[in-house]
Amino acid sequence: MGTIIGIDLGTSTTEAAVIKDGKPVMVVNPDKEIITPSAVGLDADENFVIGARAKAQYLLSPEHTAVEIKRKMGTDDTIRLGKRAYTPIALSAKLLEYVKTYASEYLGEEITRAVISVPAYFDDIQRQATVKAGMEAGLSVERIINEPTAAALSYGLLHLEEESHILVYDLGGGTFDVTLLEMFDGVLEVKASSGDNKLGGKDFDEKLVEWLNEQFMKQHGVDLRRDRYAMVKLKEEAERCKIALSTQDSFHVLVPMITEKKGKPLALDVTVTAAQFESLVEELLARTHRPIDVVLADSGILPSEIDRIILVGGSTRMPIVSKDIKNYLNIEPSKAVDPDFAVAEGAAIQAGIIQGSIRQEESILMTDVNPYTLGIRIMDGLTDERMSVIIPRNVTIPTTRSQVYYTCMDYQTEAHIEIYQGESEIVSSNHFLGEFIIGQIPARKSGAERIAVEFSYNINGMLAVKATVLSTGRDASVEIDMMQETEDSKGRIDVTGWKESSYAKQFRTIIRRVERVLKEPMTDDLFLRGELDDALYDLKEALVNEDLETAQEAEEDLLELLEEL
Amino acid sequence: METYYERLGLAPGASQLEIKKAYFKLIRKHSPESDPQQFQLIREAYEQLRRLAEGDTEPQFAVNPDPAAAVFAEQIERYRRLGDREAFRKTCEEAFCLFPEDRRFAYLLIQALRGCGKTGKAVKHAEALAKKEPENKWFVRELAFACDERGFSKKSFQACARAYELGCRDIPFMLMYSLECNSNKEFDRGVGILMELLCQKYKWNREGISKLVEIYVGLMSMESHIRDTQYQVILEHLTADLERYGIYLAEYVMELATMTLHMCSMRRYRGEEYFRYIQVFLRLKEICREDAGEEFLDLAMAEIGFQQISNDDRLSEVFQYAYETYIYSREEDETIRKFSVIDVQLCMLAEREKVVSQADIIRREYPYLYEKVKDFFKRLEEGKNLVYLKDSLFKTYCQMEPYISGGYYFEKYPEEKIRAKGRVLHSADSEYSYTRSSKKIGRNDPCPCGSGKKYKHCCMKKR
Repeated sequence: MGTIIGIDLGTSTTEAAVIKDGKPVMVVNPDKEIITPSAVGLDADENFVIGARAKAQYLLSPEHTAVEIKRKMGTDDTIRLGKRAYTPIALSAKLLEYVKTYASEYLGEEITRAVISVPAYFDDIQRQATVKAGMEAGLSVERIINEPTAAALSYGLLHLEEESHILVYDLGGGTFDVTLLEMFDGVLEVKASSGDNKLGGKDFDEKLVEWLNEQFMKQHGVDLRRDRYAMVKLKEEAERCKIALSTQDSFHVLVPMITEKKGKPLALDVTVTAAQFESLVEELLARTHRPIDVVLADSGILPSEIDRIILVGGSTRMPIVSKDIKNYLNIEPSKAVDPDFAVAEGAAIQAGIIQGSIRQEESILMTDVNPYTLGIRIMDGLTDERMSVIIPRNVTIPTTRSQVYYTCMDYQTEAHIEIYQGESEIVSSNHFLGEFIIGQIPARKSGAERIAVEFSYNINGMLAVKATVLSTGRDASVEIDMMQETEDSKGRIDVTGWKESSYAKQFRTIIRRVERVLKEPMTDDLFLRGELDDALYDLKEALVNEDLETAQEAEEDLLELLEEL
Repeated sequence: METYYERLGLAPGASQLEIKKAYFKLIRKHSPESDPQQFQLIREAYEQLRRLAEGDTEPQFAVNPDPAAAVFAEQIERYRRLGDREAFRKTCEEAFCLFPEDRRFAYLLIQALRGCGKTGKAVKHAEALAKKEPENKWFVRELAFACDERGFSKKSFQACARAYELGCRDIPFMLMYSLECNSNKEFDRGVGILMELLCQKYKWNREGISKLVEIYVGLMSMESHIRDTQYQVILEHLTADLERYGIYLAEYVMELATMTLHMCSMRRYRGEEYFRYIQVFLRLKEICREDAGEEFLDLAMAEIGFQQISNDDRLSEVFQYAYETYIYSREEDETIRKFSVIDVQLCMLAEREKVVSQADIIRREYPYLYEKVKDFFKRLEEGKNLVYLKDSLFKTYCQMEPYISGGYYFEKYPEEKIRAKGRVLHSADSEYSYTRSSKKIGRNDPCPCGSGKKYKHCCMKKR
């Protein structure tokens, strides 16, 4: 079996590491750098360029370059590069392929297996997308590891003897995670995880961009948002400014020619002070407090019992972040690990544990939790939308939990077990994972028959659900692999190529029309929207498959749906 | 059946540290990766034993040598853990029929009956069991619970007292006992029990925090009925707990605020004592996360301030009106607010000397009120043109009064009312005739505002 590498696939940068002699070592890319920017682009000859070169060309041709791909993982959005649109998975795969290539070269052996880290608060769709990207890149993904857990592992390996409560505060480019762990006797026990997968350093840049643009509008009356190139420059400058403000009190943003007005070049010339920046991002920092409260409450640990706060992610370099943590928890965060490398190192340690080069009996061991609540849909009083929790969030996995339910109708002979993941009490606001039917329930009065539902959640993210009719012992079950596609997205293929179909012309008008309708916010009927979206997909799929008959059926469906609007 | 202690390779009653050490040692051998089945069993034992340490204690029973009893015990335990109440009860009933002398089954049956809401039967069984072993605290405790659930308040109270004597101190029991004290009007004892609970150094977790809130609710509702006030100790504890468990208590801000306000309004305090309450409210405001909650806390603080100023014997009643008008009132109508201000100012004018002499107390102890009235105080102190001031205020007051009514000034000084309205000769006539209240000022007279100009050049124009 070959070496397994650990990869930190970040929003703005990507790093890889391997275990050598029981210790993690960072892998160096062809540019002799450890950090590879997470950028993918197409050069003039339509060839893919990745990493530093892609980042460099982003300034010159943003329409041929993709950045911040991770923020779109798990969505249906596509990213346009030149003439073609790509899925976030396809672009992430390009990045991973690049990592695979340079790691193979650096290590002198073909790398085919990897442990990839994701934010702890990624939901299973986002996790699946990451696994898929790995597979497309020719890597077998041995494990998805949570970023804060990885960071804690890299800390823990060096501090095996310590007994402490550790809070990992991970503010990356695009995501925010908090995890509370307990270290005892060389075992790292994750107690609780929470986060916000839409909050990161990029949002700080965004605030600065908005503000700079406002200042520019005040000075010159020109809105830079209309000018794509100016925006790219502005973003770049905002990021530089943010980084500079980490070490100095003010920064002079000067772009001599950012745009022009009636043929005259205009300069962006603004000085930003650290205090101004602080007030701009106050609201973003406040958003980190809620997840901190959640992990403290779920783990039953009080702020006074935290021994150490580990900062991970490039954004924690901002002094205001440490200051905010100190204000909120009254504990000084430590700089015990390198915020850029810790996650990749931790992923490599996990890889080492899997391949056996780190022995669990004597080295570090870890236990993890499930970050989201799992349950089934039940009838309760007036509503049949109630979520009944079977495995609460932040329970140590693997775990098996069960609950007994009663029949709710007279002479009911079967029960639908619908499985959901999420924090709402109403199932429709949660994420549907799968369903099955348990039949042959003896026909008796409501409440006379009991059904036990058992959830088993294992360490690989596999959820097995079993329902048993207690009076007869008859059971039925389903397995949901959280690492693979779930039912509702199963079978969707990439249909962006429908225009190449020989029937494309015939259906172009209807497709455009539906796409326009879907874009408009006026269609409030979410159900109808979903139907419309499905039918549109069917049509495109039929076109890709050159199946005229199905395409025509789908067109009729679409027309009917449009009538209803 | 293997006990949790045995599963971790420990002797019964092992300490928390031993339990923790055993757990971490065992999962090294049976890690989640290599042996997920065994890991789950170890984890279960670990979690259960930790819960036991947090107060969820259970009695120990002698082992019944009959193998059938062991099978029953195992099955009962399974149903109980599964949360299947009906099956739990039925199995217990069967086991009790077969082994009527086995205390374990009798005890479990009571719990099962209570779980299914069959409180009548539960009381019967509990009485029988407690009669057999009157010295067993677990049985007496069960009797107390069963009676409480059945609504037998007196019986439950007696059983509680007995169980307490026998050494029951767990949280659910203590809470129930205090409730029974309340219904039996034994307030001193009720407060004592909750205080005992509060003084034990528990570490509360998120699940248990509602119990802590219950303790405070109980204490604060009973506090007014006991002879010697304990408010100070309660507030001290509350402040410390808010500091420690702020994150968990955030959800309960409203409950705690309501009860604190209740406790405050049940007694009369001296000035600085109200300040302690205000401190607690400020702390509550710090942890509060909802706008509605904060609004409520502001109102509550205003209420406490009002109580304080109303109970302050050193101050004239006028300041109560002032507080009401400037701080407490949520009146939105502009005209009414204006009227109230004039009303208060007239009252203050009428008691000018008192007001001036007490102004210092207001400045020191009611700074927020002082902030609002300091300009008027200054005019009162200077004492210039007071007659004119009064006249102009009085005039406006008289104009507005018929439409608004309810002013303190006329209520307090009925002679002024008569002066304004004249004696009502025709009582059927709701209209009143305006009687000039002061000397008419001629156009060429010197202006009463003291400017030295002629009236027609000065205040007459501004009218």
